Amino acid sequence: MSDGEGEPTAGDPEVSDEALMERYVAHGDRAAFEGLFARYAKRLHGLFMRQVNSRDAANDLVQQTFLHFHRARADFHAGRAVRPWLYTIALNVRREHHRRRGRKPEVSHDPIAHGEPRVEPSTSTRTDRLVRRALGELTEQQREVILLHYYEDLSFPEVAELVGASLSAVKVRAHRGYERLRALLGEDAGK
Amino acid sequence: MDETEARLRRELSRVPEDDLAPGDLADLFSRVAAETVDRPPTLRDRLRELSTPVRIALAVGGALIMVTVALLIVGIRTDLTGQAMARYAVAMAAIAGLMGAAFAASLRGAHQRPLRWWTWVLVVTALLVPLALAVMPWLWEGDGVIRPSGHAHPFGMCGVMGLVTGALTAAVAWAFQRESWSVTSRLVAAVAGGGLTAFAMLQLHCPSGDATHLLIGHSSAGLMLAAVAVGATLWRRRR
Repeated sequence: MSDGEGEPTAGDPEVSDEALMERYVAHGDRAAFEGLFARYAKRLHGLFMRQVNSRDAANDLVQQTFLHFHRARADFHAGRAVRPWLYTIALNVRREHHRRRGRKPEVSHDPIAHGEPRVEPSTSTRTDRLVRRALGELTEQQREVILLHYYEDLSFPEVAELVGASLSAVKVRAHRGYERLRALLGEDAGK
Repeated sequence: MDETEARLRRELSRVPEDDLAPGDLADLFSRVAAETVDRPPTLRDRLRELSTPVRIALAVGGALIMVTVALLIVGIRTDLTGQAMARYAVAMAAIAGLMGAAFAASLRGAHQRPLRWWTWVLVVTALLVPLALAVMPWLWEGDGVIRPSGHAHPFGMCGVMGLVTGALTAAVAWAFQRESWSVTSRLVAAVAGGGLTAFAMLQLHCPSGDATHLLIGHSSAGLMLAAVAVGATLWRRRR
């Protein structure tokens, strides 16, 4: 479905997520759905990449998230914010992924082990790996809070709502996880 | 802010370098669109895309229709006195409430926080309640007379009818499910609801007060279906 004449396009950054969602839910507007996908898919992919082992798995999780987003659209009520709603779905999809795999999430992506051509990593790629490895040392609860607060830039009250914990519990997890990361990356810098 | 902290904040807020390229993003969207907005919705899609309260209400409504149809076919017991009717109404309302909770746990939306261990507490309760009620024959007296035996086999036709009713009810509820059937807790919650429905139907049909028959013939459908459901999900995961 194309945007109506004079109506702001889905790619327009001035159009709010909620306005796109309303068009998508009420009218099945494909462009609005695509607009929401374009805004969030890359960030969600990054979030998943920091928690799962492979790009394929992260792609699959993004796909699953938007599949559930589509199926659940009748549950979206006007006046709600889209972002926390979408992230709740993403976290549930990721939890289900880990539960099915039946093991602790791996957070290091080793291209050699995955048969990818060996290239000299740039400094930032190397740092990505170090951060991922350090994130892998945290508990799942700490990692979840750290990623949502620092990486996704969600406020602590929003994170508390998403993970279903009290505000104080979320702050404690973030503090402990952050201190652990600092220690791990400090050790690494000293090597 | 020391150097490590500055680096940590910088790295945590940065999108990883090996993230999606624009071409990958377009490819991923085409795959998502093929499963969602570009696909003509099937009947199953229409059912599971209803809002969560509507899906739960329809699953419960489906169970009530199933009980009604089954009783129209096999007949309702005729020995219920006025006092027994009041007792039955309370027991059936409690069973219906638990069945609704089991279906709500099964059909909970992905946009809602998971109930985690509460789901399993609810599922186990829904599976065990028929067994607990079955060992209280006084609760199911119709006219003050406990009929100790009228059945040649503890399982008998009641067991078969219970399994059929429970399986059909769970299948109706599962038609509204948005998740894959490899999600064990949701599947077991659906069959627990089916087991409760079967138990309620059998108590309204069969006047037997034989504790063994009540336990094996009337209340085991949920557990048997749950065993099949768990076995099927384990088998699917191994494939």
